Amino acid sequence: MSHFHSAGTAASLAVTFQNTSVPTGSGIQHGGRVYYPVANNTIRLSTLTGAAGGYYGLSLAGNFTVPAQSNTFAQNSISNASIAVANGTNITSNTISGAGAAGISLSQTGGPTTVAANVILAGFQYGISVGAQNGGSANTDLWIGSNTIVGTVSSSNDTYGLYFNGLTSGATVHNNSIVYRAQAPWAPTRLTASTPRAPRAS
Amino acid sequence: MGAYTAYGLYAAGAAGLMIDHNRISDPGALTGGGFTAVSMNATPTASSSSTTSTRAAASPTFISSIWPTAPPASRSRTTSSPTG
Repeated sequence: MSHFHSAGTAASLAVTFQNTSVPTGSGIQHGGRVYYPVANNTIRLSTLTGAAGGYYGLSLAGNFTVPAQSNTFAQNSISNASIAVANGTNITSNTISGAGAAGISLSQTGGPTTVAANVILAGFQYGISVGAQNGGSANTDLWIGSNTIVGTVSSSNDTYGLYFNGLTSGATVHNNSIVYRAQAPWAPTRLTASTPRAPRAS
Repeated sequence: MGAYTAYGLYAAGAAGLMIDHNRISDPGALTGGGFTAVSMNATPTASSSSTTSTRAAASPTFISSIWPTAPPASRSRTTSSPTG
C-alpha cells in the first residue's frame, strides 16, 4: 500500500492534489500519533483507488495531539476505499465506493466539520460513522447534509446508513437520503426488425 | 440477509443531534432480516417540527421531517425506537 506519510516536526503540512490519480492504497495517511497540525490540505478532482477492501483513499484518523482542520476533500472519485479523518475537515461532493467498515469515518476532535453532498455507494457496513469526540474542543461543529447513502444489505452483519456512537457534542443531520436499492438486472435488448415498417405512402 | 438488520440512522449514546428533512427509503430491496429506519439508543430525544432549534452539548436530539418509506407489509419494520 502506498501512502503519503509525514512524521516530521514541521509546523504544518499542506498537500494539494488536483486532477491527480493516486492508484493504490492511501492518498494521505497519518496513522498513529502526530505532533503537528494536519491542516490546509486539499484533495480535489482526484481519483483514489484502493486495491481491495480495508484500504483508505484518505486516512487522517489517529491520535492527534493537535486538531486536524481546514482540510478539503472535494469532488474526488474514491473506489475500493474509504475516508477516515479526524473532525475539522470539509468532505464534499465525493463519490465513494468500496467494501469495508465505513465509507466516511469521523473520529477525534478538530473543529468545524462539513460532510456534504457525497455519494456513498453500497458496500460499507457504515455509510457514515461518527464516533465519540475525545478532545473536548469547543469547536466540534459537525454538519452532515445532503449526502446520498446507498445502504448495504448484508447476510453477515447489521448495516447502518448513518451511525453515531457516543457523539455527545451534537451534530446537524439535514437533507440526507439513505436508500436501499437492488441493482436492476442488466438485460440488453436489441432493436430488431420484427415489426415491419408500414409501407410508405406513395 | 438472514437475521440481520439494516438501519437507516442509528444513534447510541449520542446527544444534541438535530435531525431534519432526511429521507430513508426502502423500496423493497430488503427481502429478509429487518429494516429500522431510525433507531435511538440511550440518546436523549425530543421530537420537534421546528428547524430553528439550536443545539448544545448534552442537549436533546431533535428529530423532524423524516420520511421513511414503507416497505412491504410482510417484513418487520420499525420507524423509530427511542430508548434513551
